[in-house]
Amino acid sequence: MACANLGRTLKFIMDMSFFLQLTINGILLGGFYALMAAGFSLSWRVTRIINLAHGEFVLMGAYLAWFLLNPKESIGLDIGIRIPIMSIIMVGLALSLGLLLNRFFLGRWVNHPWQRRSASYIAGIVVTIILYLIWSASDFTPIDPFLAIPLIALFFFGLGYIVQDTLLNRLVDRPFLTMLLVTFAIKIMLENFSLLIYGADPRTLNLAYGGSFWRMGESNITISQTRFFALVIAGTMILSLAILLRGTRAGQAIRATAQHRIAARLVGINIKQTYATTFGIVLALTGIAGAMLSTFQPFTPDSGSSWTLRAFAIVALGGLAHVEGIVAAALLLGLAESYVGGYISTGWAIVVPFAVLVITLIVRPPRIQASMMIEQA
Amino acid sequence: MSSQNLAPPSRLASLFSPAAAIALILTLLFIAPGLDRSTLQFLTITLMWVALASSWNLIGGYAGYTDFGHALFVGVGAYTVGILLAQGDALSLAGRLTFPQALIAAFLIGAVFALVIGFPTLRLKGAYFAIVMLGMLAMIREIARNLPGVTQGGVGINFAPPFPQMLEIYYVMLIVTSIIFLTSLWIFRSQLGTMLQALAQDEIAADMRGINTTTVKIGIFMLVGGFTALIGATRAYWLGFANPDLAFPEDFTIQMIMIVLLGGLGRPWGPVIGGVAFLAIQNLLWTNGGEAHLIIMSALLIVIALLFPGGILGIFNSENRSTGSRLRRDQPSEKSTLLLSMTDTLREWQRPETTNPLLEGRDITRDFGGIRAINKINFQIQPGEIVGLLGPNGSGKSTLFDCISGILKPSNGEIFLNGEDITHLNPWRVNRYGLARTFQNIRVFEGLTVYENMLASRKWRAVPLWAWMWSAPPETRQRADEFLAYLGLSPFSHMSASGLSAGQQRLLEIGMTLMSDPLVILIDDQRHQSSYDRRHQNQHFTLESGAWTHIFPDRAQSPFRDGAVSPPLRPQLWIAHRRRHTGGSPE
Amino acid sequence: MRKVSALFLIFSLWIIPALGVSAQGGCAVDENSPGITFGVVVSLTGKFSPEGVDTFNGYAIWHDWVNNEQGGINVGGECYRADIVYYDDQSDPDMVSTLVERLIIEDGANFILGPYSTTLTQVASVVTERENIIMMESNGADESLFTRGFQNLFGIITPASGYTETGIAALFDLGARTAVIAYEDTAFPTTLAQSARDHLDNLGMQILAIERFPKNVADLTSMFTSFRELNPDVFIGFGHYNDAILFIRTAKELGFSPDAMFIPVGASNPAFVSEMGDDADFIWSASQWTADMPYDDPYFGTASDYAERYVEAFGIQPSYEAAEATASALALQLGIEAAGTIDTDTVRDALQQLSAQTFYGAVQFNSSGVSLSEPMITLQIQNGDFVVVAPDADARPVWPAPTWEER
Repeated sequence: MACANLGRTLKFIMDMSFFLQLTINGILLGGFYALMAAGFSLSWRVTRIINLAHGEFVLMGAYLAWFLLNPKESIGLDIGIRIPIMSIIMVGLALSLGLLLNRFFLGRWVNHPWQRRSASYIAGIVVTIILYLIWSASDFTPIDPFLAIPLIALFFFGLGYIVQDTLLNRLVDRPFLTMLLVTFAIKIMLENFSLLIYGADPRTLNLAYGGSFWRMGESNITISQTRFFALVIAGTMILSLAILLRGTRAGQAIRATAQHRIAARLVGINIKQTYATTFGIVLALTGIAGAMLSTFQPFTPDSGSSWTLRAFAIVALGGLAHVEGIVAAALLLGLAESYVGGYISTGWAIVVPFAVLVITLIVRPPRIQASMMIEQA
Repeated sequence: MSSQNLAPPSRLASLFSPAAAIALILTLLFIAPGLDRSTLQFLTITLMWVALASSWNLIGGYAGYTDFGHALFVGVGAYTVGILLAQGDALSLAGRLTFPQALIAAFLIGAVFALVIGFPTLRLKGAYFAIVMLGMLAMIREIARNLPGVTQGGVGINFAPPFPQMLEIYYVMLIVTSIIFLTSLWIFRSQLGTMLQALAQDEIAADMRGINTTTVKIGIFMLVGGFTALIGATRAYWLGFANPDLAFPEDFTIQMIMIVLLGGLGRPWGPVIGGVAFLAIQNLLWTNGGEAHLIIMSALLIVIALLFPGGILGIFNSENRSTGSRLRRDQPSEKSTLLLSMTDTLREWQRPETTNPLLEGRDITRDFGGIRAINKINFQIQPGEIVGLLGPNGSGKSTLFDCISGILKPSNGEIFLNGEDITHLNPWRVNRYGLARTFQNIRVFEGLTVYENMLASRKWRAVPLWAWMWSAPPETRQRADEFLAYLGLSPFSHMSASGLSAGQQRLLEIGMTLMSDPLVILIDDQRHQSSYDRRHQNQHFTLESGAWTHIFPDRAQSPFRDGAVSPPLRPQLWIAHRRRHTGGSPE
Repeated sequence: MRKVSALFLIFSLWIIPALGVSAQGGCAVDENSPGITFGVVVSLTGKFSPEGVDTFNGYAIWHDWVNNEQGGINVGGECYRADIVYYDDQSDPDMVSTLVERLIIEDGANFILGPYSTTLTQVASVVTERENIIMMESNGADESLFTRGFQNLFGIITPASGYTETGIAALFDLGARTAVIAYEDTAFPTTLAQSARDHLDNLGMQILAIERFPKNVADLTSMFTSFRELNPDVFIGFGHYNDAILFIRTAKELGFSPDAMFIPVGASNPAFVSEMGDDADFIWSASQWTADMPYDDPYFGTASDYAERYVEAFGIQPSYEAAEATASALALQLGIEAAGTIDTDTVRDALQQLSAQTFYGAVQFNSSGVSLSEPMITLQIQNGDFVVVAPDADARPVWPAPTWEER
């Protein structure tokens, strides 16, 4: 009977370049985690909904990016499946464009609500069809995930808006058990949809520059290009989020709603719309995170839970109040995983996010419970 | 609030539930040898899920602690049995234990795990408990994977042949399920059940009524941990193999919860009905829908969570809970005699023989972050006094009450009740020392009936541990009857407390404080409850300054305002303004 | 592409035409003949799917051949049709147990053809042992499966020690002196790692690190970083197909370029070459069987005959897992025919006495149910082709492999 413990060779703890490389890996990973958790914390903060399906939305972004890169690839995906997926994407895009135009852009020029609405949605449909035609004219060239970000963001914004409006808004004043159960059910549904559509195989993206890296001078230190780009995107998105929240009217409305829903309503803020917009932003961020993820890690339909729990751990550690907290906590988690993986073992590195979550919640509940108490007041 | 709900359920009906259960179990026992493989397998799986759901129901339904990581106890049981029974160099005990012995070990280890895990986690409330258990499940699974010396890691533990036959496993599963189900039925009808339900409704109020929530929570969690480990052990024995992913299955938890919700949360028959319904549906879907069955199940879950939170049983019992099988024994005793007038009752009860101040506070201070809510309050209350605590809004009256009753701990200062230092005690301890209170925003147990509310507030100090498993004795029930009659709430005894008006709820709360036979009653902010039936008050609430000492936060106490006997109210304490010194408190 | 055509083919094979092709046994089966049900549980999706699909394809080839060319299974003079009922276990042990039970209890399987991987076989074999049904397993190769005293489990395997023996010796001859090992923490890769360690020790090579990773791993960056720091001559990785892909990608990302990367399992799959493209070059791997082997049998012909048949059916060269699956099914069939009945106990005895030549090599089961194969041959991928470099080399291996930046 095979003994599972073969023993290991000791690592040198003191080697600087090893430490440096682990640190770089940790930062690359942590920065990405920040984007992944940013959406989660935003939805929790504003709508008080703890979204247990968060990881599955991340995966959705990853699958979308995969599909855009492999539109004709038929490993397990024959035309019977590709057409529905394509249609869903197009419908989603059209709706999102319509939503955005209706809500944010055409308000200035077209006053009458029905005119504005129809103009927006028609414009949305038209633009989507044009995009589709362009893409099919080029024989469906694979779309690089980084270039596809605007598309992905748009699609997920609309998705988030609709999901919030139809489903999650009903959870708002319910007991927390209902919220947990419904989001958990959504998680199971999404997981099985992915399973049904894409199968259980681990998938990765085959990018031309997939394994490329930059080397730092003559040393051993390397930085993976895809991870670096992902980090840049993550940073940009988080910065944009911060600017959005602090510098725009919409952001102000969101923050006001987060602090005191009733007061915000009294001041004239449309809560339902704000919630929907917020969740749209949340899913947009999450979808982008998923797309980034797909460029450097393999993913399967059931890897979603680990992402949800990671997001939890980060929020538990970093608090709900500021984006900076999330970034710091995310970096810490990334570094911790990297160091543990390097100095101890990969197996133990997987334990890290769960341990962080459990220990943080047990040891420091007041930080989060305070925000829970505000809700109850 | 229709009157047909107020009739107490018949005595005969109370025997139905256990009788039906026993009949069912015996049936399943005797038909087994005649069944074909397929049916046997279906029944075994159904039994397993009923058992899992029943044990989840105990912690998630009865106690209200939603455990999203419950599957971890399944793994604990699986690995216990694996380590004890498997061949190989895992443990030298291999091969020397029989399966029943391993089962018992699994139960004990499961309970121990629950103790260790429950201690830190049961302090968390609501959603946070759910999340931390979710994280705990993942964490323990990965730790199991990383300790190959103990668990054989990812390689897994192979059980040695001979392997159990399906009939054998069926019997084991039947026994385990029966134990779990009958226990949950028993608990439901006992005082432990009352305690759990009160805890689930409102933990702070339950604390205040003298229920030792910590012990109750951890105790039930240990029981649940052991039960679930039993199931996990049986399952592992059946599979003949244990590895981290198999032993700690990710999707068990949601199915457990779904079954409980489907059948009816918090009721013993809920998991049974839910289990049968769920597996029947699943069988149907598998054969027709194949892989889509989980999608349909989760859609079902959403529908249930949003539209039918009471589950199947809830559809049939949509009024209040007491028309179900709940607490058939806890009805007003038919032997209750004429209701004594309150004053007579009062005079019979003991007055504490002491010259010390009954309630004393020294330099009580409480800070919230940078804000000092109460600053060095001193007071002494003698037995038999009625004291009013006055002060403008925001001056810290309720905070002081919270400090005295143990819900908050003062940042500084000391509080003594009848000579005992109660400064840092938990609320239930304070209650057991003899202090009861009402709350500004009326905390009654809305999901329980009026009668059950009263029973939940009994003098728990006088209840020994073994009595938890029985229902309330006649003396307690009589006492509850009398108080309810006095308060004018008898017609509503079997109505859900949520159906009372605010004024009636206030009265109920007062009744609950009286049930615990306190030395001191704190009544918090009477005035806010404006929907009083004054006539009601005048007729029934002729409270004499008798055995109790009261502190009221406001001068014009409605029970006393127009009362026939109205002792002079001496305003004892003034809290003028936050952060300032309190006014003098004459002895 | 492979999966789709596999399933399509199987569906077409179900509707077996009454071609009346007369073959060896003089049998010709059609829909009306009695059938023997073979239950199949494989990983068509999930982590083990590349190998699972290969295994399934192997069974499919046998199924097609036995019904259409052989004319059926000759049991005591009567001709039986081979019917396959299959389920996808999604690489999940829990599903395997349920599905095998379902096959036996509800679908009436007389025999079980086993899944891919030791983990899944472990679970499946418990069920077949309990239900007293014979299971012929083809691709779960850990010897520990057969030391548990199970009666009903049979399999053609190469012992774990045989996987790396020739490869490590060859590397040593080329000058390699240090190595690192990474292995998935399930039964089979663990045994492989153990035996590799033994080989390395025997030769006096220094093992700089042995690292374990879990089955559901997604990120090996930290592990490979430490490997890079250690700067070994050889990297040896034990896992499955998807792990092989992860090894290469991670190594490339970090610029980890040992003189040789030896990945016995997974990298010998032709699909690996097509998926990784140029990155697959210079990788060392191992195989039990290639189309050039000198085996010959009266059933499928030579090894290259079999390969041709496979290419015609699936459009791609067969991996050894597929060939092994066909051989196992064939062995089971031969056992049934030798027994003259489908009774489990008789077939068991017949199998234990079976001795046959197949396109895959000699088949002879010992009392534990194991038929041992020859040690694996070591291959290196050069320009997208598999080249045998040990023990009897067809060509010189490229040593040391160029670094990632140089390629």
